[in-house]
Amino acid sequence: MIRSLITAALGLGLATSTAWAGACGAPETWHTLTPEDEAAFKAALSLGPNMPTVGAPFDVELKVCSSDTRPLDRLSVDATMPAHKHGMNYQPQLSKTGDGAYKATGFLFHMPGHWKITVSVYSDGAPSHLSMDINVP
Amino acid sequence: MRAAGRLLALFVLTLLATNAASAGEPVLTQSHFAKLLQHGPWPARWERDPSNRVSGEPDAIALGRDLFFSPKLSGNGKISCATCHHPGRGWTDRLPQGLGTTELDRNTQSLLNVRLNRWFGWDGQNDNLWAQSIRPLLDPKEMDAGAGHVVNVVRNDPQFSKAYRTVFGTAPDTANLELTLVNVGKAMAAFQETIVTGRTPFDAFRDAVADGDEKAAKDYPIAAKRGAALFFGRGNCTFCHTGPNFTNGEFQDAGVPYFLGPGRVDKGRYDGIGKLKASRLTLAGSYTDDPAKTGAWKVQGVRALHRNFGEFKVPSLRNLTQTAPYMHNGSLATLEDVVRHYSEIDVERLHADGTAVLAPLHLNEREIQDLVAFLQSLSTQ
Repeated sequence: MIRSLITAALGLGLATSTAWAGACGAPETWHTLTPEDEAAFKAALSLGPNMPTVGAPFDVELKVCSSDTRPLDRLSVDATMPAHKHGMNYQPQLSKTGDGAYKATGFLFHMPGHWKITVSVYSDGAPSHLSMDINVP
Repeated sequence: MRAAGRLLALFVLTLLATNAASAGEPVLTQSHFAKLLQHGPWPARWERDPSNRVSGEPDAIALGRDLFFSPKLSGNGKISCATCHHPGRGWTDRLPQGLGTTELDRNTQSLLNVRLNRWFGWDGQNDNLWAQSIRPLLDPKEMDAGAGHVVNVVRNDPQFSKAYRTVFGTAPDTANLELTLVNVGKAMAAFQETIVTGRTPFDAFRDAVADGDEKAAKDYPIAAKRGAALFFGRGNCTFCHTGPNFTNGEFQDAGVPYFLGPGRVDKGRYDGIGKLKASRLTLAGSYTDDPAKTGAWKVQGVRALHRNFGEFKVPSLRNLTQTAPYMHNGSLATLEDVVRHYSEIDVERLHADGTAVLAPLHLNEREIQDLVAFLQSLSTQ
């Protein structure tokens, strides 16, 4: 109830249907990302205490785990505006902070609207993509 | 938060009724108000620049002010920073294109609220104010001074030399020209950080909305309210001109030609990123005074993209009545010209693969004047 009031008042909106469920042992306040194909990996993401606002840099914490025993070879994270067919002006810098835990710095949404954060997990040369949608007021 | 939300909703309803009664039509909706509130509060909170150890220091500000207004720093001894950034002209020169040792290709940007920038210059070739302060000193088309000339002037002028020693604890070092030049830039940056604008009619209206002060909100002119409805609504101006300083701090192709003449093109941000990547004077370099290298993520993460070609920085709109003419090449003389430009913008020449950020608005004459009235309300009176 409180969250919906805040959303209405400030015009914020998370478009993902699976927000607030913790995957990979993440706190339940983190956002579980939606797999875009075979769910070989799971991922959860934290945007920090405040929702991103236009023109303000922010960092992302990430937890990634395999649904089976597949190894995680490589990881990338990025964001795009599907309607405008462009991404961010910056490439986030990704660093590992623990077992299956990462921090991505240098996100910046330079326009309001619908943004999609995508995590790409590479295993045996094949990518798996997981994403979440954010409506930035 | 719940109480604040109810208060805002009630206030919005009251204002809607007020607007409808006073002008015979609704003006601002709840959606507009939500966006409007994001454009404050103002003034912005002071924060020292961690990359500049003399940021906010009174002695550095005083030295920076003296250096800024001194023509001695230029190669010909006739041009100071204030020649183009004149305090009586909105810290710009009111010319279409700047005039250094020769006419330049771009409009001189105002220094009002310059400390709030993420990138500096129309092409964002610097990520900090002290590096940007050095750039025109060395540009042959602007002040045309070599590093040695600047350092010798500061060393040999008794007043400059004494003040430099007071601020930096050492004499100007001719054996390390670049370090001394950076210090000169840091003193001038400290001064420019003090160039800020005050509260505007828009700020009073915005705070009245935030506070639920209906009486104060009524003081905002109805034409400006109608203009605000365009700005925050159909005009989509807040796509780029967002936040308390009315800019997202990034770059956009605004449909202004970037061809300079036969065989000459101003590549804008495309060139700016190239110069940034080649610079030693970034927040990721060795001249920052911040051990944590705050802000280094910008130069480390910025992408060089094809669409950067012809993009220029989104300027702040604060006190824009003082900074005509407009756009990166100074090609639009008045605010009305700017509104008409966006109203009939040629989307064919914009780089847009998806839904265009900019689209012709086809405003009628009253809407044009309303949007101008809103823009004028962003300036101090």
